[in-house]
Amino acid sequence: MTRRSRRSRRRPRGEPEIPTQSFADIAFLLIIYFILAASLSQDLGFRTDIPAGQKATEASDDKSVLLRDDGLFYGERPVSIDELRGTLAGMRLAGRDPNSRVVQFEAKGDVPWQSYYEVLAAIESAGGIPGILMESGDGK
Amino acid sequence: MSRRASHRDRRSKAGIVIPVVSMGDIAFLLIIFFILCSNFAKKAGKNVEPPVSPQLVGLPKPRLYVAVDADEVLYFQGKPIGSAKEIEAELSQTIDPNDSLDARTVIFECDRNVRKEVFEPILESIAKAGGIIGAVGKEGRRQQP
Repeated sequence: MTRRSRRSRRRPRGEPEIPTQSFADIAFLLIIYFILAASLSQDLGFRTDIPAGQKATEASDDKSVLLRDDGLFYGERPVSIDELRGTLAGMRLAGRDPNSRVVQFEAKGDVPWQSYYEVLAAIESAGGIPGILMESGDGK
Repeated sequence: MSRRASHRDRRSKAGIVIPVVSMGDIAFLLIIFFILCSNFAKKAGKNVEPPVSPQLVGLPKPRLYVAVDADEVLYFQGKPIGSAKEIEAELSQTIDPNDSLDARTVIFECDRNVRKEVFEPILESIAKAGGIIGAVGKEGRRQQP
């Protein structure tokens, strides 16, 4: 008997099968990767469409907010952030036409993002559109 | 040979097979779920403490992502970038004014202590490029000093 015929006789006669057991292992490794590399939590915040360029400077003066190192002002009046929220909410800006929803906002001095953010969030949550007056447009 | 021993022999010959083929299917369904529901960690490893404010809402999944960390380093899509002007140039290439609100939303994450001269030009750049700012914060009230 030749060597070839002996080998063929030893092979199992059952149906050929693709080994799929390792698929589960690969898949679970991928799941572990996704769990570690991704997060399911949603970011919180607010969305605002700031009018760019000339439009921002054309906002009316009757609704102007000024943020400085020494405090927050609505028009000429010093206010706290809670008072500003209350004042803006009382104006019912959400139902108005877009032009009269613009609240002029200017920050002067060394103001941190936390204070700036609170004012923008207050304007947004009241239904206003922040018209930001910027000192320069040169970028960093 | 006793009756008990012969019984054991018969059992070992039959063999126990756990059906594992369906495990693969379940695992791949879980992978699809994770791909669809998760945000990839573009912001991983950045030192950003977001500002605190009440009345915040959920923001869409970040497609465009700009960040400023506590050291005032600027990031665009998770990679450091030089200036607000460069961010504007990148965004202008990506944002189409006819896109939906979600597609135009630029997630902006900035450390709460970053100074105005750093973050304000970025806000201006996003607005000029036609983007809508999705400013990330943390729900709560700031403790007054």
